[in-house]
Amino acid sequence: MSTTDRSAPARKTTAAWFVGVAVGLVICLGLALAVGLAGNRDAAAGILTGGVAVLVLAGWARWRSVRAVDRAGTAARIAAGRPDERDLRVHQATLAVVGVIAILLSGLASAATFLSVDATVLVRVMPFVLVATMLIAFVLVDRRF
Amino acid sequence: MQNEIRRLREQRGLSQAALGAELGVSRQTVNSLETGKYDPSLPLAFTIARYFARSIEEIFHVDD
Repeated sequence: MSTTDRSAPARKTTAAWFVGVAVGLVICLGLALAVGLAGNRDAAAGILTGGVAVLVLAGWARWRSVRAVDRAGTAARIAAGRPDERDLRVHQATLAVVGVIAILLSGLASAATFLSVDATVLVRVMPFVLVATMLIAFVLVDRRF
Repeated sequence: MQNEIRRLREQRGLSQAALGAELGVSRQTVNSLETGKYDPSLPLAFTIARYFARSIEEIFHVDD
């Protein structure tokens, strides 16, 4: 594969990465603003802090995958928008696991509401459980491939 | 699936990172290919075969 073959897709993925980061920033700011205006300032601060931390990590991953290609890991290349085909397969397998767990959890959570469990707590806990699932699944799948 | 990538790479005196750069994949992907943990896509298999000037069958062998 020549450099010419790779330049067009590389430009496309670079543009897609910057668009993704910009969209992420807008969503993060908009969500924090809406939650803050609704009177939940601590939650808004949490959303802003978490969102900005993720975007900063994505920026660091991109810098690392460009400046230190050999040392960048699978996660760094994916976050940087520069994955190769194995990285994409790890990503897809991880998301498949998260999807299955999300379906199972949402079913269990739905059933739990009939057992007088507070639905608000379930909804607020769900993202953390799914992020933890994603991290564990990613490590396991990355080792397997 | 077994393959001859490590042998062919070492014959050429290339590091995994150098071969990865030639093939447009990461060092980890080359390592996973060599250890048989990861089976390449058909386009990557063709790229590898073309790079080593061999046929796909000469490089990749199905486990029996």
